[in-house]
Amino acid sequence: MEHQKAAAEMNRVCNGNIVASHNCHRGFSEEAMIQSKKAAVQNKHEKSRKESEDESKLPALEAAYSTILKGLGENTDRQGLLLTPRRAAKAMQFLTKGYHETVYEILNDAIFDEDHDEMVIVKDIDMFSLCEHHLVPFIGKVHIGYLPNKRVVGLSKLARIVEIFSRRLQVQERLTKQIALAITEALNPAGVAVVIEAVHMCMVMRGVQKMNSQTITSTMLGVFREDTKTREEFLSLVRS
Amino acid sequence: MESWKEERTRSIEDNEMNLPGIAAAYTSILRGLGEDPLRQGLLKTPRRAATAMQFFTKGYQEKISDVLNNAIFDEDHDEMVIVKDIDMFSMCEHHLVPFIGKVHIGYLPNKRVVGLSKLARIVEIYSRRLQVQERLTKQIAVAITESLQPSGVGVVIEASHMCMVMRGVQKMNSKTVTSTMLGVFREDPKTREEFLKLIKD
Repeated sequence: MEHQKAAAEMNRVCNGNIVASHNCHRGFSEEAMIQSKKAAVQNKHEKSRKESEDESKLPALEAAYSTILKGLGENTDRQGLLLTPRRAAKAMQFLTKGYHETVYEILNDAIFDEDHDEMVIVKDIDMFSLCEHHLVPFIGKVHIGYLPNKRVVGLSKLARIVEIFSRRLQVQERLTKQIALAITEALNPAGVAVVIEAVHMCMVMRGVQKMNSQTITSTMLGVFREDTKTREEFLSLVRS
Repeated sequence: MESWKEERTRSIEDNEMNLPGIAAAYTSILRGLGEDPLRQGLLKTPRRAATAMQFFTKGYQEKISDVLNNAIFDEDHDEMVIVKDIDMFSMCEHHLVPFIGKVHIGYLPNKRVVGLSKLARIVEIYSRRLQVQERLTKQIAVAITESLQPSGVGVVIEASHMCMVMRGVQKMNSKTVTSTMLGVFREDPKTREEFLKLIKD
């Protein structure tokens, strides 16, 4: 059950106890291990959210949204706004549903032994996340590539991993890293590369108001970091 | 249906007064979502989110008469004037999630023309509110009608609703198109056709 151990590590918690780090980063630098611990720090601070809790939290969220509407000078009794606190609360819970899910659950054992050692790329995965600084959406595309090391993963699982981490209050840099680390820890591949291009509504709709600016972040691990040619191949396949 | 002479419902002082309350509401939202409001990235988020939300609804602070700034000129021009591809950002009043798109405005002057940027400013006033796309389209058209008394006004909005893209049906590429045609744009099909053709890319 090696991949189960690795997966438990991803969340850093197993039955409520912090799991000690295993040597499951063979072929990766110390750097990646340290980064893995740092990314896990955020997981520790988040209280995990069970789906059943959502219902019970709804009234408090609704009350908060009502306060916001009144504070903005709107009339909460008008027809269009009557049910808005509830709708907005549910929408917000949906947009942060990544907190419910763990990578181990969604991987669903879709990891297969395959003697394939060429690059596998899933690109143009639509991503929608919420900026944790302004609570305003940022949307974009995720491109993922990995070099399998005897084990491949079901392709949709890469998109599901993106979903888990993007449906949270995020910072684009951290999102990129979390996706890369999750794939690393689940699969132990020879290398992983993740590139995200996104448009931040907080920059488009307010603040500097630059309509066409895009933010690009990337995380390269394993051979993608060490070998320039591999990285180049990935980047040119993603650009085309 | 507000006339262009509507009263402001909010002032800058109101904003300052209401900010702490809105920020506190956001703190409780963060807790309700299972996040830790004390972690570094979220420490100032309630305040930032509250200020952002006030910015997204700043249309409530403004009046058309202020924005027009007397930029109405007598001009003997009776051909169509179009300002198209005006970027528009608004908030869906049902889910408090943005919808973004482009506004195309055309009008047929009747001896009076308006400063072109004022059309974009009218869009800003009405879009920076909690809105419904249909109402937004109509408000823009009516405001131009009442301030200029032109022979006709046409407003077309194409927008993408994040509430449909990010949640719910999750249709990434769907766009919503609404239009309001007043005066000759409504009565004369040829005028309307000319407008619609000119705003197509």
